[in-house]
Amino acid sequence: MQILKNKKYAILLLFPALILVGVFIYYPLFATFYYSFFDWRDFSNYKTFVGLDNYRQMIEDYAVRKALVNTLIMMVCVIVFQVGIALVLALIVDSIKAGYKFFRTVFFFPVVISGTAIGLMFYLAYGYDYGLLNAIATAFGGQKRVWVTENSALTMVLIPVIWQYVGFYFVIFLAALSKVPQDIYESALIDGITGIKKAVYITIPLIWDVIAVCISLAIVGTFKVFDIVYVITGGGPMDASQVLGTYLYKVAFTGQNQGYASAIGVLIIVLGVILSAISNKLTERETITY
Amino acid sequence: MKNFKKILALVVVIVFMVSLIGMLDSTGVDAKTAEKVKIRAVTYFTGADPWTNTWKEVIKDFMKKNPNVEIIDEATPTTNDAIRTKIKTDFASGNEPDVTFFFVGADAEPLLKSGKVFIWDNELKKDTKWSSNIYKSALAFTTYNGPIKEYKGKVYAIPTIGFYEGLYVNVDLFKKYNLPLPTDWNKFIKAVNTFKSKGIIPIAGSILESYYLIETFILSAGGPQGRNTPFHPSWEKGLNIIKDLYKMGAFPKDALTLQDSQAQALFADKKAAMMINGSWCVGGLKDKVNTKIMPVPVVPGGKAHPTDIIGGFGSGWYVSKDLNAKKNGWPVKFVKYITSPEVEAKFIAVGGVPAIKCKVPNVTPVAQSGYDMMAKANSVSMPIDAQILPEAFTKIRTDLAYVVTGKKTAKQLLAEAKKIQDRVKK
Repeated sequence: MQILKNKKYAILLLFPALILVGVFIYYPLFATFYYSFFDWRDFSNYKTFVGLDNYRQMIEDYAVRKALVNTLIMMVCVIVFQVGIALVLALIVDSIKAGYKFFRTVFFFPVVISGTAIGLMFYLAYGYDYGLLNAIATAFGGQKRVWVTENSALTMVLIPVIWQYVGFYFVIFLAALSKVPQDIYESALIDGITGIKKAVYITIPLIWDVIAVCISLAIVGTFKVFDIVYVITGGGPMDASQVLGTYLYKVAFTGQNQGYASAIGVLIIVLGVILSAISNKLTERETITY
Repeated sequence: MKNFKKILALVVVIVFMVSLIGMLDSTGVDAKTAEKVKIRAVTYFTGADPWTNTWKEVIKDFMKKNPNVEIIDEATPTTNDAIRTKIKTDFASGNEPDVTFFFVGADAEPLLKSGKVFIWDNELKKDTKWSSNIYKSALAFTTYNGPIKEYKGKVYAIPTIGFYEGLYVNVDLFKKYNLPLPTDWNKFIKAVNTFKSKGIIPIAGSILESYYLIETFILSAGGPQGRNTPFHPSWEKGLNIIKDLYKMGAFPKDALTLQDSQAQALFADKKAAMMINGSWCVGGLKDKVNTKIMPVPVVPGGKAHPTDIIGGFGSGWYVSKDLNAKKNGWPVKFVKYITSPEVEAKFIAVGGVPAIKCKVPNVTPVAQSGYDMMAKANSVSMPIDAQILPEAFTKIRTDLAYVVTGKKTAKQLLAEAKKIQDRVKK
């Protein structure tokens, strides 16, 4: 116990973790920033310094603009629907006595499935000739339709993206709700506050710090969306569902242009940091202790 | 303490005696050679392609014949360009495998630039018993013609399995609707219209993965000369033909997002009458009798000869120069085994075009039609992506959707791709 109280040992014990984070997070981060100033292709040892050329190309690139707009739309939808649905579900499940564990498991289940598997599942569902949705439609006498078009592509990838992580936030909210003291609710009940009013005026303000963290996580998470979109549409058709992650992959690995891809990577990092800082500022409230 | 010293002395004596006995046992055998030689082999025989079982069987046989050699199978998929990333980073970081089965052409340049690739010319001259079986025409595809001086005119990979791209036809469907086979453009268009009216997909093609559509129609429009000249005006015509066919409804309704594997399934299930694809599809066909492979017909005003095709030997066996020297030439010996007529026959029995003289038993009618197409070809051209920058080709392929839907002209798209190409060539 004496050892644990000694700060010297604490610092020493933190070093392995610091080294790991340094090697696997901070070094690649700075390396990406460095590579973004080079014309670097084919993962070769040859790089030419081009200054801000990659950033200039990014400004002219229609696909980057489209991916940026799509990522921002996705971010708003994720905050509203993913975090929103999770909160509503948590409030409902928290208010029931029977089946609490069942609903918790069922809603959390999609989180444990890999994004690629979910992507493949939805890709196979959307297919025109072999797809599940069209099979159901024709079984009920309906007509086959093309589910993923230029107009619908973003929505079709948003459905699985939102669906997958609702359970994650749901469990976090459920844990936060379980910590709210019952006596607050009891006094509210005496004052005649129940139902939606109870949720809006009592529960949500009490767990606001948790909601703020979830919004922050959702914002950062949107910039990481890749696998589901890549498997279902590959970012297409015509960049309609392109997000920054899929476009970075396309440039780096299909196009073999790692310099330009690094510049897109820097954009993702910078936007992620700025937007999560803004969200932290906007969701800042006085902490309620109970 | 005394006891400890005694035990320590006893251990030292035992270790010494055991070592002595070991040395006596291995009389005449160099300890170094008794060690297993480990050869890392990277291929794309991961199970997603038809040759995987043959590859596994062949490396097992090789290890049985050479018990002192262990082949470490590091197969990496071609999907999502994983193999490109692995090979290029391995060579750039000094972690190159002993033996690599990889693409030739533009993809190989970073490998050659690293200076780590074994040049085969001397070996081909020295061991004629082995090299005389390799077709010279196949070796021409793996002879370097680019700007890297050290490799100019040298063979840098040994070819094994070749490929062709052509028009796959479900002959039974043509018979059913009394249609002549699409040997020229008019018959081709007639077939497209008829099948469309009968509710059958005319061409199982993917616009998302439109590699073969682009290559074959550009060849058809410009002939070998036009196709081999990057951004030749005939390229625009080739892309516009794909647009016209799309507008006619020749492709599946979800062609913009359909993956090539699903397009192949549509053809194999007879839901589609034709398909433009490569020789690697032969193994996956269900009906190997009523299917025929023929050249894509020449488009109106096209410069191609009716038998000009896309094909060649797009991959080959590379060996690491340094590791081969370090490992007593075993990597080269292994590649020679893989490229022997007996082993080649096993690979070609599954699919592909042989680069090495061999006797292949039980060739299916569809495979035979592919061989015939290759044999009768007036010219065989390599795909475009072996010729221009991957980034420029990716632009053409992925943005083809804009062209077929009329959101961008073929001219605009090619100008954008050329800009990418020129930026690098500066």
